[in-house]
Amino acid sequence: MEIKLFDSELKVMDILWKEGETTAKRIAETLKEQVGWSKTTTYTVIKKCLDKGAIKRSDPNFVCSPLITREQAQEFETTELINKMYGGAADRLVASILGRKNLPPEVIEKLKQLIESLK
Amino acid sequence: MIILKMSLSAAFLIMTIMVIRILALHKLPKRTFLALWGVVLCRLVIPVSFPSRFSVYTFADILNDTFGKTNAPFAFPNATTLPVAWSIHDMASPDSAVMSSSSVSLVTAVWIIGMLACILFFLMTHLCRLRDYKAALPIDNEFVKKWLHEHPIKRKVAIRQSDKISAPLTYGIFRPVVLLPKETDWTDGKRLCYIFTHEYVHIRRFDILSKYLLAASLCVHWFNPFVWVMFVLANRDIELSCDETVVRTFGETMKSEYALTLIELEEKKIKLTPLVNNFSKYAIEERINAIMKMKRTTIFGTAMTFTLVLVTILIAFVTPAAAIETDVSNEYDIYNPEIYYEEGEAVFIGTAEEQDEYSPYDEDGNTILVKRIIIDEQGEVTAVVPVENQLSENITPDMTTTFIAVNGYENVYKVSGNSPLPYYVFQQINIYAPSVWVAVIPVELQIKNK
Repeated sequence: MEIKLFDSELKVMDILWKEGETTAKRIAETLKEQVGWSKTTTYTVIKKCLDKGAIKRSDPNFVCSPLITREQAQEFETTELINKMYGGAADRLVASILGRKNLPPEVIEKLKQLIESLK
Repeated sequence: MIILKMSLSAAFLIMTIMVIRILALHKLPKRTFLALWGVVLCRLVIPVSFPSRFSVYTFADILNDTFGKTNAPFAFPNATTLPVAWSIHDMASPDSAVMSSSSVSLVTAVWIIGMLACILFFLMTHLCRLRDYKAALPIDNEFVKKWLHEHPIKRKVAIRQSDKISAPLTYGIFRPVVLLPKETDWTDGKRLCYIFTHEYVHIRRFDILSKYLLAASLCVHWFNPFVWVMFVLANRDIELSCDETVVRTFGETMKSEYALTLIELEEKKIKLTPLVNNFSKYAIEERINAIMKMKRTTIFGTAMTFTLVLVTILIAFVTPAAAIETDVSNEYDIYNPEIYYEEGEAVFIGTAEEQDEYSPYDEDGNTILVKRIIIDEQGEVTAVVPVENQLSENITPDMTTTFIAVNGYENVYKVSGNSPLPYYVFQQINIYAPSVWVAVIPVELQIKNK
């Protein structure tokens, strides 16, 4: 499933991924505390997520549950990044990550193992 | 329409400012133009009658009225034949004489529809964007904390970021929010300083409020192309003036750096919204030009600014005083029939002779009473007879009335009082048929005094 989520929508998804099914009221309360959104703003963003098919609404109490996983969202973002910045070639992205100067050695080691396991 | 008149005099001002802007954009401090647009905005919003009330013209008018009326008797031509109009056997009823003000109401309707459309458009686009802006996320890094601490402002300023915008912006009047694009480079302190200072100048000057006012006046004067030009130019001048302040704050040596920052921001914008780049291309060029050509303000420049603003204010608020004469003859012309009826009201407008012929009846043979506006050969109102004055119960024969000839009018009613001098103007005039009183014209409705 290909769903482009904006930062604001990811904020709502974040809560759902962490806490599972949550009422819209609870989401609004959490986000008011976290990022200072008004109730209306949160509901607008929730509606956007509903429209995009990223979450599902069940009544009563406007309970929201995620339809996509964090991994799916990450995968989409990564694919987009590869297509947009690396001309569709994943290896160039990996090269770019590995080329970063401030990458700690243990992270590099971990990445190597990951590539090894995929072989 | 008063709006049309306001729009017209503002158009003249806008044209003048456009010329000044072309000739001296880079020579004058940019605040000059903001002040000039401010004058136009006042002109667009404040009705003509306000400043003109205190003008010399009004005083002259009052004098003229006071002394002019005393020796000018009221004339009502052909009044003797009026009763004919009420005879049951007279079937002549020229419908064409019944005028409703449909053309006037059409213009007003079009204006209101256009205004509503404009308001709707601006409101919808603004609210849509605002909805996105409100869903922005807070930023909490060292730079922001330091900046907020070092630049206190009375209103509480919030700094947030959004992945839906490409260039920094500010919104909100009472609780301003500086919104930054997600891909802001937080390591480039110098550039951030420029951006923040720019947005802070906007906040301090309530530029958002100015932009709202500009949009509001555009909605009211949507039919005036000059107001559209002003809307575009004034919005640009707000930016130019803001840039000017930023450059003054940091010193002129940073001019090119600041200009480069702007160009970079513009590049990002163009990448994201390719459709608008042609439109804004000239604006950014003008902006960069203005920054690079900026000079220290000279005494000459300041003097020029003051003179220009003063002269514009004079032009703006003296013209209406001169225009009030035409005002009187058009809009508030007491001889103009149009001011004596409401839109959609059925009225009769015609000369005294025509109104003799005019007597409409309904199916049952009852007289239809309509307001009668009696005009002379020049189309100027001589008298107005409202319906209630045509009802027999409202007409009381309290004066002796005789015919006389006054000032070339045959058969003019002379209302005699106790004085040996005739009181034509200052007394109520009753119109009667041989046995019945058919109409009464109170003093305030006796318009034209010959």
